Amino acid sequence: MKKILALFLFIILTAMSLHAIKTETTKQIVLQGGYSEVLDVNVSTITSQGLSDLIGMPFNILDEYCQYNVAADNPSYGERVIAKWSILSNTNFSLSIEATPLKHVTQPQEKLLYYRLAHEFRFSYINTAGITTDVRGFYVFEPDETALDGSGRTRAYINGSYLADANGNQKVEFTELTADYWALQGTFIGAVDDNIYFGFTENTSNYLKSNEWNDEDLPDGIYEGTVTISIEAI
Amino acid sequence: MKRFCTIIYISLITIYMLFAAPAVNNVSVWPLNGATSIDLLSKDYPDRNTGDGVYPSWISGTTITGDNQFLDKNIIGLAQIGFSGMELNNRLYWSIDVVSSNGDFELVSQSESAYKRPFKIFTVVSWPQYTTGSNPDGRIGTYEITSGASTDRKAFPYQARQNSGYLVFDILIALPSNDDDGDGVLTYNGRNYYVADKEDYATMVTATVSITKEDGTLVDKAIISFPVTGYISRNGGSATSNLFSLLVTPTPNSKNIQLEKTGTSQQIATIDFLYGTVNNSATPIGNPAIFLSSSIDPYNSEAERFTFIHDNANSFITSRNSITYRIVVSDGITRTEFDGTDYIPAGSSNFNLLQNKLGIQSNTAYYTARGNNPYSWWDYNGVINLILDSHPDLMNAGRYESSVYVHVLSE
Repeated sequence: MKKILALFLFIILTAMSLHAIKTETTKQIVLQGGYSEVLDVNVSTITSQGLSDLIGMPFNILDEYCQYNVAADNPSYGERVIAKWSILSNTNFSLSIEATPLKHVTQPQEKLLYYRLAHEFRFSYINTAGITTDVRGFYVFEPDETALDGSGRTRAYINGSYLADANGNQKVEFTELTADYWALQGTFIGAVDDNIYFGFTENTSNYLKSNEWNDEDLPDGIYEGTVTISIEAI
Repeated sequence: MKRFCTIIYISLITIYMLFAAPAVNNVSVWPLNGATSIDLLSKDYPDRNTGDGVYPSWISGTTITGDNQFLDKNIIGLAQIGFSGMELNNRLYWSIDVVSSNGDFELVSQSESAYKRPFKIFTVVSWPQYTTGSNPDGRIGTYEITSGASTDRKAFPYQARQNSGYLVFDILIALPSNDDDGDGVLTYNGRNYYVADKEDYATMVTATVSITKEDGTLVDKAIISFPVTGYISRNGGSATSNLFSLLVTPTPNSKNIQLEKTGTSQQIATIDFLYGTVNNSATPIGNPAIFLSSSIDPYNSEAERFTFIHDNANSFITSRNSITYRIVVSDGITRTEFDGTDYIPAGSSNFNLLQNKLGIQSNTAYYTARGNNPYSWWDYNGVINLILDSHPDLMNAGRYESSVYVHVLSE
């Protein structure tokens, strides 16, 4: 009998205690924070030790390593490395490339020497399964050979495959690749640090080959062009 | 002989200084539970300023029935000045100032700061030891306290200077004007206030009682800050009458946290809490507890760590678009850290199971003027800071959001 009474008392006390705590109120503090934009681009050219070097500038425009590479959809292999570029970013950005064709610096000529520039990049991202994935690709600037202002179009290649034109002009918006490759929800985060390859366009390569001994059309001397890369947060 | 004279001279000065010493022996200010859950459309908070020599009466009922009446619930705070043996020519002055955290005397809705309710503050001053047939409570008068300005200095009563006793200051809240025509607008001092049903009108009130000499030199002072809260319910329903006031005031910084600053304490809010009632007991009623978590539900056992998440992150959270942090609440003496995961275990019967909760202070005051009765309350005043955990050097740029929930529970 004693045992039963003790158990009964315990149950009552427990039942009472279940209702002992009362929620009086809850207040919410909404916090907002910001992480500053980081956006930086740098290009450093590679100096060649002599015209026989396979990389760097200056180089012989008749050298085979700067001619058009038939593997147009897999650019850069076999073309000439002339510079390194790097981007540090934690936000969406667009990239603009403008390039003036090569011209002899002292003997003006009608023929303009057009070329392509392949900007290589590699980076890692964490995919939805939480696995770090490496991406390698190129942005290839292809000039408009009918335009005189250095404009052209830029094409994107990812992991060896052609992905997309960048709006049919020379401006690349990195957000366009977000869904597939920049998987950090619309924002590129990280560093790009890789090579810039040089190769003449197919038309120019053919022209160079057919006029390689023609001193009138291709005089000796220094040929020069200007490449402008600009980056803008969007 | 020369040495003897010097000693006499020093002794005389010492004796003179003893007689000239201030006669005030303590100054105290306390909050009272009239500050909690005020019905802001009630007619029972009269706008009444009698000035010197007109003695208001205190009635024990719940509704004002005549002129010059006040109710206990009108009192949001008490101040008391003890004094003894003042010389007749040793004039001391008292003054009170009250400021509201909102600048003007306005209670402001915490959820929608456009909604406000103006109020006034009065003090009824009494000298309970000096009573007469017509003034059994020894009242001296009622004075309005203007926002942000001290009352005019008032000298201690002439008779008080020869006696011992206490001056008592009942600090009253008054609700001027009202929405009598029911059009949803209350006009006061030429300004329109929209009357909105909200249960979270609040402000912090800071009361300072000062005692000064004739030349203005400060003799003593006492300061207290406490939250005043109220509600508006126009459609007959009344908000739950609570015994507590909780005021969580975010700082401007809470909307602009610099997420690069890991490991650094950044203030996001202040917290002011008052819980209790007049109970004639040295032990406050109830047993409140406050803790902070990342969940709106204090019983959520799956509450996650406090985390800032990038606006565009959706459900895909990575170390690049989310930043965890800790919350540290401090009252200047104790420091309590929360990581967001605290909760009340289901079926628990007391707060001892809750590891992190604020050290709410139990207070007891002896209201000497009214029979030396004790009354007691709980309170807490502190600041809320956050400390960001370390994260990768380069995070997703842009805006991040997070929420912290402050839970008040009682046993």
